[in-house]
Amino acid sequence: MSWRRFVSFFRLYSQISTNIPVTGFRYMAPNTPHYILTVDDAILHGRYMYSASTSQATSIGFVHTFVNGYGITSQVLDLLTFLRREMAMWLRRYKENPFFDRSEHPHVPDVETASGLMDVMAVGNMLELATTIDRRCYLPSSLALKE
Amino acid sequence: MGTVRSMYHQLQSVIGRSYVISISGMPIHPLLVFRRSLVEFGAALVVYKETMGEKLSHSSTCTVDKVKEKTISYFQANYPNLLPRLQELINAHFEFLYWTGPKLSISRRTDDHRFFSKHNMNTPVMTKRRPLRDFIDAPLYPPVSYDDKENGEGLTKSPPRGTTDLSHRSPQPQDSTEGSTLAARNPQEVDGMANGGGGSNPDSSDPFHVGSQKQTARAGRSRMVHFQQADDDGGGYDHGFFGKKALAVGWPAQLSPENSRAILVRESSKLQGSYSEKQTDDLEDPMDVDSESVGGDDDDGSPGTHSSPISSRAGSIERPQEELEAAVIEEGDFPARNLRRGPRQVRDLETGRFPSHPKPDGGKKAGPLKGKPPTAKSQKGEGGKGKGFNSSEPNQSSKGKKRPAEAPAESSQGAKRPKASKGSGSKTSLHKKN
Repeated sequence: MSWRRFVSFFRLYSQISTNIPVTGFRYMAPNTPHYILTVDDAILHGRYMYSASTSQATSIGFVHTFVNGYGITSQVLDLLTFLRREMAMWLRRYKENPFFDRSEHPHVPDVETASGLMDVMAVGNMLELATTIDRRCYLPSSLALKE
Repeated sequence: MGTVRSMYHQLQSVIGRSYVISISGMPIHPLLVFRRSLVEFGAALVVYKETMGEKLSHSSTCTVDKVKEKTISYFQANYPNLLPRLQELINAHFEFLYWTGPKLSISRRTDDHRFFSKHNMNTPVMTKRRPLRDFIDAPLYPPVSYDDKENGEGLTKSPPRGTTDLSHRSPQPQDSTEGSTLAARNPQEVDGMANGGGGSNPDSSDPFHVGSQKQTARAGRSRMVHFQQADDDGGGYDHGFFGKKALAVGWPAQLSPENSRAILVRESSKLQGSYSEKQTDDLEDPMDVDSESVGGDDDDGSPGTHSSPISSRAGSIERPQEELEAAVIEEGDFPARNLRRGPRQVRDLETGRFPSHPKPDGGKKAGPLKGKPPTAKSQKGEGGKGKGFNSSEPNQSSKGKKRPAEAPAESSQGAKRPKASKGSGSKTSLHKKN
């Protein structure tokens, strides 16, 4: 799809969206080109976008999924893998320079702020208790259960 | 899993070294914040699972009991001192998965945030700004009562309900940073404080608890650096002294490899409390430590009371390094040093070979040419190796021998000299590269 057609589609979609009443049900038709704008820098992984500034919400959502099953939200099986990689990236950045320029690395939380520290702790707690909050570790064939 | 947890611990350590976390103006140990967040998260997880139960999902494997058991076993294995706090939170139905503690303020760590474990090293201002050892609103660890009778440094701690007994701690006045990133046990660590060197142990279950083995290791490290200090535990031999001074001074001539091995055996046996070595009794051991300070083993007169220039006696050990080196040099010759400083075999310019039999009169012709500045090749070949121990002796290199004979030929041929060496082919080019 060319850029011109995409822009025209976006205008059309915006027009349709604004014409639908608030109480109506909005849906996106299949095979609809779209893009997503995020208000913060985020990493796209497995059809989900993860932002460093929303790590606390990510961890809480993962616990919801673990406790209540996948009926409450989508499947996030590979989230821990992503978080491990993210933690490795954070560690590398802070090891290189703890006082790095925040504007150059938007995917690394700023621990100089309380919220940034909370984000680091949220991901860290998940990784610490990874064997507890991963359902795969409760399977009879899992290595963690055997141990 | 362990690797990721290790990375998180490293990140905690980096943050603790670089930043200061304060609660209403009072600094607190950074690891405490991480510990509190972890234990509250674990407790909230268990409580959430208990609350929800099997309402929305039914699983025969992931049950409430198993989740609770897994969480508790994890803390029991990794953070045993946090186990009482976890049980308290679970019993109190703590249900917040996010931070509910006091407001934190983070700032960069500077020299103003220094605090040493030794009480005498702290100024009153530093003592006043001592970091907290636990949260005031919700203590993570069993109650600790600070006794302010001795300038606020006395600490009486009741035995914790956890598994770790802290009664084996050193009888020194406790401070708030023992075992922490702010702790410093010897001047070397104190010097390294500005660089962020710390003794935090993120893997430890208790951020303030340092195991007995680690304490011993740190004490050993301290003795290594400061070999002048007397051994409190009667260990006797100082490996730091051995390793550092032996390399700095060099081996004396009397110290053959066999003798050195015997000394090593003797000193190692001295460390183990047994000594039976008679071959080195009459050996003047430059690496000997003062047997009087060791005590016990030297009553039989076997090791130790020698007139060694680098003995670790209180009188001689305080001599500066240069004086020690000079004293050792005066005493005897050093084979290893002579080998290192010996005449350098230089490849011949014409033939490209090393001289097989140096001429006896080569030393007379080895001096620099009169009236002719040294060329770049000659400077490169000498390399400044003639200086130092044998600098008074003339350079006996083959280059130096042949140069006087070649001098007139070079002056007459001038720039044709490289062409004359074409016959040697690759050897000449090899020498040029070198």
